Amino acid sequence: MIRIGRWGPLYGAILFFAMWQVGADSVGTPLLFPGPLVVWEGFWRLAETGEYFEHAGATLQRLIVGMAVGIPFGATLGCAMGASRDLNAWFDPYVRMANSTPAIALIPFALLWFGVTEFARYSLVFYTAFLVLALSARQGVTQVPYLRIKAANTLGVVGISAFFRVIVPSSFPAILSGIRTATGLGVMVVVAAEMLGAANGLGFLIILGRQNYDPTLIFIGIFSLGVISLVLDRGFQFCIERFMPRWSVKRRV
Amino acid sequence: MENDWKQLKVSGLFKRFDRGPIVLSNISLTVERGGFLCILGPSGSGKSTLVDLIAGFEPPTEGTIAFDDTPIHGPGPDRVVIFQDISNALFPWLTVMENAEFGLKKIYRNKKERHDRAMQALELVGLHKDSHKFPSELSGGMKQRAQIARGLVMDPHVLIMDEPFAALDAITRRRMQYELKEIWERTKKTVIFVTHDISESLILATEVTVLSSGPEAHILDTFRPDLPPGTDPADAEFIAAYRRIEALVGHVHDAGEAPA
Repeated sequence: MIRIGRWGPLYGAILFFAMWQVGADSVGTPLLFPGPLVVWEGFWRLAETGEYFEHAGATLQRLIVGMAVGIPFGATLGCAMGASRDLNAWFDPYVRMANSTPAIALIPFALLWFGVTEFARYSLVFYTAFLVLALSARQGVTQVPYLRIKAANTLGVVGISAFFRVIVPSSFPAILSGIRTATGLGVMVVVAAEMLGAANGLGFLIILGRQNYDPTLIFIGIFSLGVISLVLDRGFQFCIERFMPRWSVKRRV
Repeated sequence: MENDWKQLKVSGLFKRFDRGPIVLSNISLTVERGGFLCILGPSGSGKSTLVDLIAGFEPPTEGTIAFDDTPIHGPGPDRVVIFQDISNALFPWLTVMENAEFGLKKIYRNKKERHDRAMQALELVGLHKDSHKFPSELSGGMKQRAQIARGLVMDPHVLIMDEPFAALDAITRRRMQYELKEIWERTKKTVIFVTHDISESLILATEVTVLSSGPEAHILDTFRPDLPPGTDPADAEFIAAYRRIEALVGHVHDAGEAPA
């Protein structure tokens, strides 16, 4: 393996921005391909008026509300399906069908039923988070090592208390990784929903850029989405290591 | 269950899974209260199945398991099992202390009492200074100590140990054997100890039951080694006993099992 050293990511970033600038210069006009400096200026203008934060905040809020409701419901259903063969037989066909129905395909329905409302956008993120969590929690529960259940039983912990004290915590790592997957998918869904019907949000900003022939806005929107996803994911990991050390990856024997 | 039992009696035990072959055939044995019974058998002799039956994880196809005349049913803290699998037996999201307290939650409402009981057991196995650690921070030997503490804390009638040291390196294994012996002498807990290691059974047991190889594993012999206290595996008496068992098991050898 090639060793680049600890500053490798920095070199990578410099290279990335340099190539971007060179590419933009060779196209020649920011009306087609704005370079990083032009985008930074545009971002600064939007940030100064506070408009940027309205859009980014709206997107973030939709993501968080939808996830906050979808995660517990999805995880609960997933755990129940993992624990009960009957429940699983009931719900599995629907979960499977829904899983291959992208949330984006449901946007027309959401808009038709709920109108161009926040609720419509929340419901799409909810749908995404719910499904991902149902699947990952179910997998977590069905993959609990049988020995752990035996260990609980021999210590007198059986039935429902073994479920809550051993099976659920054992599937927690799977649930956590489900949350991370759902966050990434959730960002995509919010943006799609905002593109098709919203008056603010980063998705709206991207559409606005196209309508106004202002590709700088498109770049700002795209870049912000990437940064939001990255920050959320790293922040999530950091919080687990910092505040829930027993669930950190290092602890999984 | 009452606390004045005298014997754990296993009588006429048969086990087959569904329509599979007979795994255990007519197993009868008696464990005296306070005794240390080693069940010795080659790999595939159904030792773990026998543990599952006595622990109550599996029902016997035929036969009974009872404390005096009270039959056991299902798994329970009167027969705590110590498992071989080092990496899955402890709960990795709980500290050593929380693992040790795991079974006490139902018994003691008082948090302090739970903590004190668990600490006592951890001291007994020499883990009291590591009570805040997570299983992933422990060596294999320490993990098994933690498991033993978690079992002892329940004050079981019988501690069932299923090849608990088989996954440890030879040096750690020998040390754990002597420490277990010390713990047993101090607590006078009844122990059923399953192993395929002849030396291990001679070091630990007050009574050894030798199983034949499977399928249809049956008891070849049950005897008391009666080695004088402090007998070393290098002593002539130990080696003689070792040879006797080896002859009993016949041609079935496990590689690398000479007396140390």
